[in-house]
Amino acid sequence: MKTKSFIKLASMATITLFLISGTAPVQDNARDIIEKADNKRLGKTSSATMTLNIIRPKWTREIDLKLWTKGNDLMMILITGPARDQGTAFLKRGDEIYNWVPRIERSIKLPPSSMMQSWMGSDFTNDDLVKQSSMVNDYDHILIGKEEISGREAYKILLKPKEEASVVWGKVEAWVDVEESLFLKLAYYDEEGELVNTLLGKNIKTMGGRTVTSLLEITPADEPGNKTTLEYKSIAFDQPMDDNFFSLRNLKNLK
Amino acid sequence: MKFYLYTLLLIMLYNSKAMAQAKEKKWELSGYVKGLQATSFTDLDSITTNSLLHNRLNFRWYPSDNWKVGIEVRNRLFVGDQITANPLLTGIEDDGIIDLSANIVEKKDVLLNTTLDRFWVQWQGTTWQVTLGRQRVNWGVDRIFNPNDIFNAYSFIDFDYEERPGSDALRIQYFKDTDYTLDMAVKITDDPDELIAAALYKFNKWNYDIQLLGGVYKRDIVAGAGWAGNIKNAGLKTELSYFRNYQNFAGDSGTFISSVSVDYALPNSLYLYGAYFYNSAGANQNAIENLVSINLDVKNLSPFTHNFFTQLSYEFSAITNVGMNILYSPADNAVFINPSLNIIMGEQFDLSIISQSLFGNTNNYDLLFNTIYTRLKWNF
Repeated sequence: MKTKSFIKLASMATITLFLISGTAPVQDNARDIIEKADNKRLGKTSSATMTLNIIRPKWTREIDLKLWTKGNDLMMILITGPARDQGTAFLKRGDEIYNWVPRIERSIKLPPSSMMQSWMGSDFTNDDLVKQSSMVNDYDHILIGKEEISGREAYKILLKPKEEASVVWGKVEAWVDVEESLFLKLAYYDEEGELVNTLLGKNIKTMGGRTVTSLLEITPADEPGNKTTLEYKSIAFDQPMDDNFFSLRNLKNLK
Repeated sequence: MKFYLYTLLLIMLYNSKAMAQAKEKKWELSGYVKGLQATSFTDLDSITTNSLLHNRLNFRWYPSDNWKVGIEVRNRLFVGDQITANPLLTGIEDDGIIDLSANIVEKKDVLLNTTLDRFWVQWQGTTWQVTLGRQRVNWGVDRIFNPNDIFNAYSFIDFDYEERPGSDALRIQYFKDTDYTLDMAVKITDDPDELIAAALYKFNKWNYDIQLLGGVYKRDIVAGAGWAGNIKNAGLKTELSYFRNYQNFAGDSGTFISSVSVDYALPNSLYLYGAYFYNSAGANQNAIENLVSINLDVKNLSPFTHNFFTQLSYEFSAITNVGMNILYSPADNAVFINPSLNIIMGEQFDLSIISQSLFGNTNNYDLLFNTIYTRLKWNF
């Protein structure tokens, strides 16, 4: 009985000690780095035109799209080419996801499980595109140190999913550019600790008044020769966007 | 000759489309040309083959921010045994208020038909939207069976005409905010037996899209409800409709149709869908031939009382997809099996191989219908 309460007390003291000695501020710092990079990536609102390239050893498939976001909850995607899928659109509002199918002139509600499915057959999942899980709120952040990525100095941060968060990854490693607060690299691991995907942020440019990685490249670890790239053609940040813009009515009017 | 002229026009339109899109979008043109080869047999002595060349043009004109005009044309060239075998084909009926369908060529084994299946003008304000003309009023929530879709019934068997015929209608929509919509539509007709006039109220509550509808469907009063939501990570969709003859309200017991479905997407790109469809006016036996009936209407989406439907779809890669639809009804032991393979070939072409087989009988499983389709589609 006594031993037990002693352990309890000791562990409490240790926690208090860590809090005072500054381990917690370092963790906050790691969280700040991620938060700053995450905010910079999407802004309060963003509207972008981009090209998705699915690259396989024997073929490639290209899809042109427009993307609108407001915070983490509101998102719309319109496919602008090629003709096969032109006009097809997606809306995410909180946990609800809809697919506008122009051929049948109807929006179909998709199950939440479709967030983890590949988007248009690419190496990106729906969740990668929209980030339903928050890199800031759903993880604990630990600063590992600094490393060089493509000739740039980057913070290396370990993200461990919180127990209550609905995150599929076992852990995520992030490399964030020290100077520009940009995600230069993200490595996603499964629950067994095996590497699943590597995402690289490349071609740093000024677009929409911000420094951005204008080319995202995702490579699955277990499929050599496969990768998907997402290249920004244009992007605008923080333009006023009404919540009503992200509506089923507007989904069919997107141009 | 007319057909060659038309092809030439198509190529010209296609080239000018690129020009239109380079400037600010005042109009848009899209469409496809599909070549469909169908081979039907129930035994090797009775093989029939049919070919269909099918072109669709979708035209949109945006004269201003508030106004929009939509015109869509469907052209079909039939070649093969079906023209003599199927008298319905040469008499392709346009059941709109104005006949917008014409047979341009009609010979023994060749038929060229052109139909305008969309022809509407739309005005949009901030909260109101009015659409007049031939249009699709699609009130369905579910994927396969749609008891709420009273203006355009859709048959899952007819995979080659997803757009469906339009209704000549006046539709007025009121949008209160993101989540609330009042939708009123009247099918314009001079025949009271064909009149459809109904209103649908749609709202979002508890992460469910919920809709309620009521009105007149031909000689019936119709009331319905539908919803789409989630149970954990799976999707749940339901549609219910009740029809009852208003001229003989006391004497008619009414027709109740409903569909309940659950779907789930796995991370490995496998999609699973299962539905149960109930039709109180359906038959428990000797109805199997009506499954492929031509005169589809919301009250006979399936001729059977109890229907179990499952759909599997799997993406092998970003260019290859396989699918399987299976319908089972204990009535007549009916089993409809519909596998498909779709391959994306480059930017513009799609190849599909689709098979449809119907088995059933009251006592044992007989093959009643078996067709293999090969389809090449050019999208532009």
